Amino acid sequence: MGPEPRAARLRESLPQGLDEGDRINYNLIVMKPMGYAIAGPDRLDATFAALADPTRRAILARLATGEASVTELAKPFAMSQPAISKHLKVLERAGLISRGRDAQRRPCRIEARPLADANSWLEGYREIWEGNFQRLDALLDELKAQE
Amino acid sequence: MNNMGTLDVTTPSDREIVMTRVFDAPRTLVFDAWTKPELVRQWLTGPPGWTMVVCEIDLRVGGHYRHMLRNADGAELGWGGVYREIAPPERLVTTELFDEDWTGGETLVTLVLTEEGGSTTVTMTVLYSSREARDGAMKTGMEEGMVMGYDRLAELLASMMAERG
Repeated sequence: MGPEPRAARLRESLPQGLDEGDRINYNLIVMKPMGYAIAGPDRLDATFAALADPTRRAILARLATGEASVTELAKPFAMSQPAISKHLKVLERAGLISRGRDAQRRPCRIEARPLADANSWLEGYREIWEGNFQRLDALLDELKAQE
Repeated sequence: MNNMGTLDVTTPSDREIVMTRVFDAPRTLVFDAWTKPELVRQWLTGPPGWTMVVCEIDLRVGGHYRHMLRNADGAELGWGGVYREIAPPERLVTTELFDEDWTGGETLVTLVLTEEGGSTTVTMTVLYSSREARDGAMKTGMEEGMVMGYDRLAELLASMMAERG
């Protein structure tokens, strides 16, 4: 199964009327620990901890439209540049952004991979329960046949 | 019923997850499948490649249950709890706590089975720990800055959602 049907299935599985922030919250809430067994928990912890903050989500939303410097990123927020830099460090540690080598500007850009991992983790969660329930279907068929 | 086999997941409140699924079997059988060890170990095995190596069930109010999964690499995942309410074949309430506590304390899992035309709708509600516990965890999370546990983070986000209404 390619990535597109999976993404479509994920969208369909969400309650109606959720925006992107809610979608991330939803992902967190519906996670059941069993899912940890198949995904690297450390990496996901860092990703979701980084996503827990509205400023950082806003920064990511801005970077989704193209790279930007710290100064440019600080502008729309009522925050100091050091405060923004702190958020950027968290995002960088989580692998959600990378910083350019240009010493003056050090532009930030978004890295898609951890977000994709987080999403596929959620898919994994659903698949685990779908797998459990499909096995239960088969078992119930056997039990019915025995009756 | 048209939604046979479809897994529905919702979050009706800031402390709950609800999963709904319809099975093509009478609820007595579904209840058995959920409470008899020889049946439980056949299906509640999680990700592909894992098997249930421990399945202990003492089906009495106050009785304990214990499950453990293992994969080919020897990795283990264990959880367990206590039966709080047992009303076959319609209702089962248990506490649940994973060995590595990811959920911020034990959760309360309520299973409700309704039967219609030979099919059973299973509604499983997972209730997370108290609002007080959550608020306390949230405060700690703030003080610790970004070093938050997954469980507390989930609680925090749940409260954010609730505040937004």
